[in-house]
Amino acid sequence: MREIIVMLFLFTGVFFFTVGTIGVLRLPDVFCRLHANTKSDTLGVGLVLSSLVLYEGLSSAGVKIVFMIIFILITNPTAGHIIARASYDTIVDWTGQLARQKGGEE
Amino acid sequence: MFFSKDVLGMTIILYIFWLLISWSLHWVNLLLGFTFAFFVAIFMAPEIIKKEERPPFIARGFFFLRFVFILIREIIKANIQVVQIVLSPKLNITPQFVEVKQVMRYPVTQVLWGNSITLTPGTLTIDVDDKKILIHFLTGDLVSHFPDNPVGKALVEFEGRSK
Repeated sequence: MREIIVMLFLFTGVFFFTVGTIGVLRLPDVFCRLHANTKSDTLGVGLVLSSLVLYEGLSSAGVKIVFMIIFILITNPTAGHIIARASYDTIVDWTGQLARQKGGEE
Repeated sequence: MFFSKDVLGMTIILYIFWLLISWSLHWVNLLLGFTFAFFVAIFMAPEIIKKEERPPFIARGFFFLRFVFILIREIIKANIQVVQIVLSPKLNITPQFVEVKQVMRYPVTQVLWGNSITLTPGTLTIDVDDKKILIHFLTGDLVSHFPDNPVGKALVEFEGRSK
């Protein structure tokens, strides 16, 4: 019974990872790609590591994996935020304008 | 001062962290962990915990738990939306940048709010300061729904004031 739940979590996590990767390939510019990446990576890592916690039970490794989930939940959006701000200041997006000038108009 | 409430609290947090990571109840381990936690707390507590920056709502644990549950629900919703957009044959997205007002007052909640915006459906934080937040929206119809974001409401309640 526990194996079924573990497999369910694991495959859902891998599915979200796959969708995030397809999103990075399909979407047009860096900001849209970050949408796909930050969201699905956070839930994907969360589900895969949760399945490992369920498989491992309450032990030394399980507690460490719980800490990993918490830290990834904090750091993943922060990394996405840094990439987005750096791109906003420097990168010319797919319409040929600097993103900062375009943001000022709207 | 040598021993204060800050030092005590930081010692307890570090000691619990040490016990969970090391996962053994041998007496050497317990003693070593307490010594390290206590000395690190004595030296670092005045540097890390500043009295004037401490927010007044730090003890409202129930509202923080409620915020975490709402955040997890929104993350799942955001992922379902990403799946819908990415796997549809034609990409119906209208990306745009919008500046909204900063509603959080304290640095802690500003950080939490910035990260939560990135994780909620269709929005991505680009720049945050005391006055405003610059957000990238994936689809244009989300802009009007943004002020009644449930995560933002939960964070405002966590700050301890009604909107």
